[in-house]
Amino acid sequence: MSGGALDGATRGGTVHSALTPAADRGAGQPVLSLRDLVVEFTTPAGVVRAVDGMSYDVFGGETLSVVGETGSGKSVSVLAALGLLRTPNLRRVSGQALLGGVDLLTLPEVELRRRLGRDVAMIFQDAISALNPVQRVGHQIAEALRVHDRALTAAAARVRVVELLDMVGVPHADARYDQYPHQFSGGMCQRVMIAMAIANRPKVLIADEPTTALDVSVQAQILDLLRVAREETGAGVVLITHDLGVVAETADRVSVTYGGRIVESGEVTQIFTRPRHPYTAALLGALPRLDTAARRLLPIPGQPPDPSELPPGCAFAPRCPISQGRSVCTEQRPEARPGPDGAGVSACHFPDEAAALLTRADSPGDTTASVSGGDAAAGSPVLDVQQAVARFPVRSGVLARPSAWVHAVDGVSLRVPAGRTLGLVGESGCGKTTLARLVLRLVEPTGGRILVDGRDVGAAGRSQLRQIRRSAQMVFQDPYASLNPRLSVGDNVAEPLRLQGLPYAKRRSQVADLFARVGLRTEHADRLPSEFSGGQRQRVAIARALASRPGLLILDEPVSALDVSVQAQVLNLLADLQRESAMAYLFVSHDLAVIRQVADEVAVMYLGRIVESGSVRRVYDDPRHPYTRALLASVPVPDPVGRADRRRVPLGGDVPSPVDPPSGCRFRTRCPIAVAICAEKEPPLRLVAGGHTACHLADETADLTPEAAR
Amino acid sequence: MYGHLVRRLLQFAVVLVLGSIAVWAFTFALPGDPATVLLGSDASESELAATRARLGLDGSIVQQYLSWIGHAVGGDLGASYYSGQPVVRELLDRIPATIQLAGFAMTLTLLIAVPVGIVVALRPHSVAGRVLQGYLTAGLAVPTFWLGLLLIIVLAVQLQWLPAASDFVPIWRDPAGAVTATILPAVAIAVHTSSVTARFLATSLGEVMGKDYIRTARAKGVPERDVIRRHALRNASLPTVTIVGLQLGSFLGGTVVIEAVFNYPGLGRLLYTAIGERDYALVQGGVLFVVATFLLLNLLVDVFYAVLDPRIRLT
Amino acid sequence: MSAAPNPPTSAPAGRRRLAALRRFARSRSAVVGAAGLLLLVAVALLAPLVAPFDPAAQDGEPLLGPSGAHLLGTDQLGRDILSRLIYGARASLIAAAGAAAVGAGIGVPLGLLAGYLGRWVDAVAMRLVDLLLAVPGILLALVMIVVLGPGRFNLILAIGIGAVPEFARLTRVATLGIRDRDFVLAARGMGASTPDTMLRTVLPNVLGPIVIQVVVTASMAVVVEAGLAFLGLGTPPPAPSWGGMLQDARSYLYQSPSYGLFPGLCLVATVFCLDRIGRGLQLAVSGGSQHLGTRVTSGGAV
Repeated sequence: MSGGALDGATRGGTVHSALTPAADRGAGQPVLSLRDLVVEFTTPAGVVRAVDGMSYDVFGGETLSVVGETGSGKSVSVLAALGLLRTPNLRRVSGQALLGGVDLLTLPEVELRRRLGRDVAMIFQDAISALNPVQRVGHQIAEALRVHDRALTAAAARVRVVELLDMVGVPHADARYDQYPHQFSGGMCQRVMIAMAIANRPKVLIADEPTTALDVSVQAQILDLLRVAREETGAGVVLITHDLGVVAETADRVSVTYGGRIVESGEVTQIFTRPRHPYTAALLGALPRLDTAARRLLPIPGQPPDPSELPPGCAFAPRCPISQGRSVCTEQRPEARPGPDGAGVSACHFPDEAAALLTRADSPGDTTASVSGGDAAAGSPVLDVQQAVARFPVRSGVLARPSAWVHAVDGVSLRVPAGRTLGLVGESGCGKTTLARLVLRLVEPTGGRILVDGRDVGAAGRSQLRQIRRSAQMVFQDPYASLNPRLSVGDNVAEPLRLQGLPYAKRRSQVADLFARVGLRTEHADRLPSEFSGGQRQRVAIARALASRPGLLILDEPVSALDVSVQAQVLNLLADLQRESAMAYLFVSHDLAVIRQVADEVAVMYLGRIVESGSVRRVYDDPRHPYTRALLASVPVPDPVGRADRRRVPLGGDVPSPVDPPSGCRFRTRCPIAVAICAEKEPPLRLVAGGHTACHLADETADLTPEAAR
Repeated sequence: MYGHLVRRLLQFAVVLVLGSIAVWAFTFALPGDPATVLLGSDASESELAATRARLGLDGSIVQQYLSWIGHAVGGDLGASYYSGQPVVRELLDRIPATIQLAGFAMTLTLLIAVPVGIVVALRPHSVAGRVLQGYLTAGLAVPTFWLGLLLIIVLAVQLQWLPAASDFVPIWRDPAGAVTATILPAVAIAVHTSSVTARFLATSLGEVMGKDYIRTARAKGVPERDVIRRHALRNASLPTVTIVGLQLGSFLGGTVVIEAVFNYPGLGRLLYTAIGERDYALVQGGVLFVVATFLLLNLLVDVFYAVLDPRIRLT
Repeated sequence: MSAAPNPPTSAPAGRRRLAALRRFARSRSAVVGAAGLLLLVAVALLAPLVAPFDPAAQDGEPLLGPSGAHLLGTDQLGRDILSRLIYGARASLIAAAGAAAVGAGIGVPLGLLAGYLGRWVDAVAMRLVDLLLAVPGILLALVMIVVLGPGRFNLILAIGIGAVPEFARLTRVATLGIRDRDFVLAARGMGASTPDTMLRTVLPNVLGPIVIQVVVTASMAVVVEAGLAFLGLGTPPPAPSWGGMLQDARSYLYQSPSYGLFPGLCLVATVFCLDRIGRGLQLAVSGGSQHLGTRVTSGGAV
């Protein structure tokens, strides 16, 4: 992307949004109100109440963030309200969904459709699949216009659509009108969705996890665009998300969902500084922070409630740190009540005790960083990657000959000593997952050397490779995909042992030990993976990785599929395991806050190369590479206080194709400070300020924009 | 797009060559050599040798194949053992009849399958939906040739409305006569194939209706009818095209039994008779023709697919 | 998040194994199909006990209509049609089971190898499949019977070969779908060999569609066997077969129209039962999420 239009608009938007926190809200009616919305599904396990009496209001010009974890009913509620839930097992939708005083739930379908897209528009999470693959992008936007304005001619619609595409920052809008969704990147598809949504200047704009599938730099672009869209249309925005950082950066008001209900609502600063529900406070405590040094996270114990058997009292009571078995919590369902100052609304019997949890979270617990001491650095590294290269052919033409190469990993060197964690961070497509797979030779290396415990992975014969794969184990991102669904979890964990030829009885007893180590109940070993939640499955995957007693764990985005509360449990478990057995971790993630939490050393990857590496402190507190600085500046900080002062200069555009990387410095096409030499000479990774940085200008960058590094 | 099509063209060529080799080699798998089959077991050695030379069976294996395929490409598939007519001539005589029946059957198939598939997918619980689902189940369960027999028993034997045996009446000469003569076998075929196609269409339409982009269209405020027409049907038709192509291919050589039931003079009947008469030259040529036509048809389906789906066309 | 939450089920281990069975059983028509097929198998096995007459005994008047003595009448040689139908079920069921076994036995390994190993193995296997697909099923069977000679085993082989492509294609697609999934990578990462990964990790996870295809193939085989018998190339006489009886019936349409009715109805009932079972399995495999799952092979217009 190179659209100057957006950049201008974005900066303007940043300033305005900070100055108008729901200013004109008190004046009028809410543009959208949910009243006691209940949504039920019929499932084999019985009736599931996904939304359990949800109510909230959105006013024109404000952003209401509905935040909650998976299954808390935040998406289902709006889909049901707009009549977009069409699953055959939908049992009932009751309550009211008032759009400008009209209850959408009672409208006949024809009347409802007349309002959708005109008065209320939606932006969906996975924009690529939300667009029709066989229809031109421009036509899809034009349809949104013409369906509500039959008089609009095709030519006039086209002119308007090109305007819209231009406004949302799609470059060469006129040419791209005629393209198909698969020719757009994920970020560009989301821009198209936004153009479609604001086409008719709706009164309400509902964005359902609009940035979840996107990289952090693109996420920042899209969030800014949403702000622009709100100002353009004056719409009330409902932003549904699980990301507290996104909430803190964008919302005026916040509603927190849990177990299908709103448990707390209030102004954004109040929610983050003086929460009046223990769940809100606990979520904040479980969140890894980008801005503070590593401390032990405070996970929320247990699992989110099963919507097919919600507890009679407070749904959060079984996990609540302040309930502590008080009978009123388990027996009587708390009603939403406003606080003494009339502002925040909390559905807790003891709302005043919640804020105290935040201070508890701030008191330093046992730190993990100090445990793995400096002594480890002395020994030889468990993992030693030297100039690793992995290229994939792009086959095309008649004979499917490789016509070009994807340089997925292009000369990367890393060392991880025992007992230490190296965090490898980068955006999607940067090659970090390929690098992780290279270590076990799940991808064939094209060049360089990879040593695990001094043994060369690339040169290993069949039996030696089997040896290496025992001492280095991998944990994958998606715990729903990484376990064999046809084997019981116990058998899954026992697979490495079976491959070693261990007899059945021995396997059983070892599995029991492993289950205990990762905090699973042994009697669940006979169940299938599908019976477990994401967090539990990731524990199973970790247990499986531990089975062959590896000295090295490769963790490929191990917590990105998990909710915040569960993520903290897994991160703590990994820290404990490392302390017990001094394993080396290669921790791959796109989440800078998680990496800061777990890593001792960090390496930042961009287009197959490491652009910066060093200790956590060096990379996070004194980043010298403009890419690292931009990444850090793009991450939404879960702290609304002072968000107006934060300079957010999102990186423009998308990552270039690794098939044909830019000449010289690969980052130069998106770099805000690039000069002539950057196009000519590739900067080597050199020692700068106690870390390594691959930038010609690394010595100067430190004083350029110091505040961007916060 | 061109890369994709050129690759398909190449695959087509490879399979065609493989097919021709298989068809040619088929005579070797038969008990006894062709010369003996041709002349009978009491022919003399010299007669046999002469015949072998005439049939090109005296060279090396590769030579034999090359000479055979060379002739075949030039339109010479040899002569029928039985009638002595050139094989190509025998085939050409039957092709119009086969194409006419295939055309009738495919038209009926699509006329039935498309509306039935849509109703079954979108209104499975309505009265019409249930009735049509019953039709699909029945259509799949009733063997084509038995349905043909039933039609003959009822319409030809009992009611005497239509002829029991279907001669080939070219449609360009006598449209009404052609319909009367071809309608029974065409219906017998189409009841089955329309059920297959409709079920297929219903399934993919059902899947498409659950896609995110359908939800997007609804969220834009597009009326449900247009959601189906403009967004769902085009996407759902993609996999259905493949099935229809396969069916059309099978009509061009696979309607052996139905042609036998109606005594219809198509390719299938010709091949069946040739097999009965051990007329291997005719069988060889016929099968080669059927295989080539089928592969060509598949190639056309691929082209059509690329036209329908920009993801294939533009990569 | 998904619109329809899937709550964690907490069924104990023993009952969990029955979950797929329960999903199958929830479809009433699938149960009807299974019961019908079981009945058919029982009748075929117990034919000597069930059949009122010897199927080869020519002791009745020829071409009688249904009556008290011969419930479904007699054929042109005076043999009891009902008894012949009962014995004929054997030919159909053997052809169905045999063809499905041959098709799966060749097609599944072929598809598994092609899908998992890719590259030239895939190219070779798929061209082979293309070639087999290019000959319509019934024609392929006809030619193969000519080459192999008649006989029950060759008949099964001929029909089964025709089913290979669909098994191979299906297995390949399913294998491709999970080849790069994390749990397969995980198995390799644990040090599992390629054959071990294919047999223990990949195969069990592609079985669902294969099982359904077995049923689909069986019903296809019943029809093709009858078609071949109708052409005089099926199960060799004097053993009765439904297709052969239809061939006889065709010659006596005017004298005894009812004769042609019963073998056909048997075919319809068998195919119907198999089809219902297939749909039930589809529901069981897909977890009941799909309201209208289907897979169909074009058995060809025989």
